[in-house]
Amino acid sequence: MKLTKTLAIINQMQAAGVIGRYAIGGAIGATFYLEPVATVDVDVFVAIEPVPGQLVATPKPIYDYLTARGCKTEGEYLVIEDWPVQFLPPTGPLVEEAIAQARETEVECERTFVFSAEHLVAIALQTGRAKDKARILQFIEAGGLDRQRLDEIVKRHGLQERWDRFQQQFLTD
Amino acid sequence: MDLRKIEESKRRMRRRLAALPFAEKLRLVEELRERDLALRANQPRKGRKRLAGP
Repeated sequence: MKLTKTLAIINQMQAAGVIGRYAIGGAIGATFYLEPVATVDVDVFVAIEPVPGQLVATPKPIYDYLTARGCKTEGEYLVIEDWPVQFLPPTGPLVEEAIAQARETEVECERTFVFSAEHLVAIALQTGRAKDKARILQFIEAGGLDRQRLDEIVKRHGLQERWDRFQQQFLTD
Repeated sequence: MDLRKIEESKRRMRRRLAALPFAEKLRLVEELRERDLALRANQPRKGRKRLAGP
């Protein structure tokens, strides 16, 4: 499977010290918990540390590492084993926490990390597009959420008002 | 046509798919993606949509 090879290269990059902890989000991350979700790309969230001597963190080391190994760029994506991968820095404390608390799993003997279901829902709530709301409903219908953990994340990251509004809009009869 | 039965049947199918091992689900995602890209490539006027989002 090409995606396993994609993950293997990301893991090699991690082993080489180019990136630290990472976690898969987006549709591929959601697929860990739900039915397969159609997507054309892979979202990899990664804490990008500044290069020693520089104040600003940039994804340049990732680009340098992958392009040196034959990966092409396509828009904001790096194409790894035919899959466009977008490396995303944390946009705030919620995503930082999601990376830190990501679940470790294996795909065909390849180790990888996926956001927890509760973090995926909280991030979708924070992002707030129509497709994010649809995904939250999928998670709720699938019934695999730890509601107490979700409530704690929602409170910790100032999403209570959005969550209340979402529930009022979609979850009341 | 019983819409409730159809909806329940779809829900069962989604649960069955969700219960598959992650690797199996990723194989299905790859198949979906190949179909999606083939459809985009065959769009008569627009051609293949850029992968990069807004």
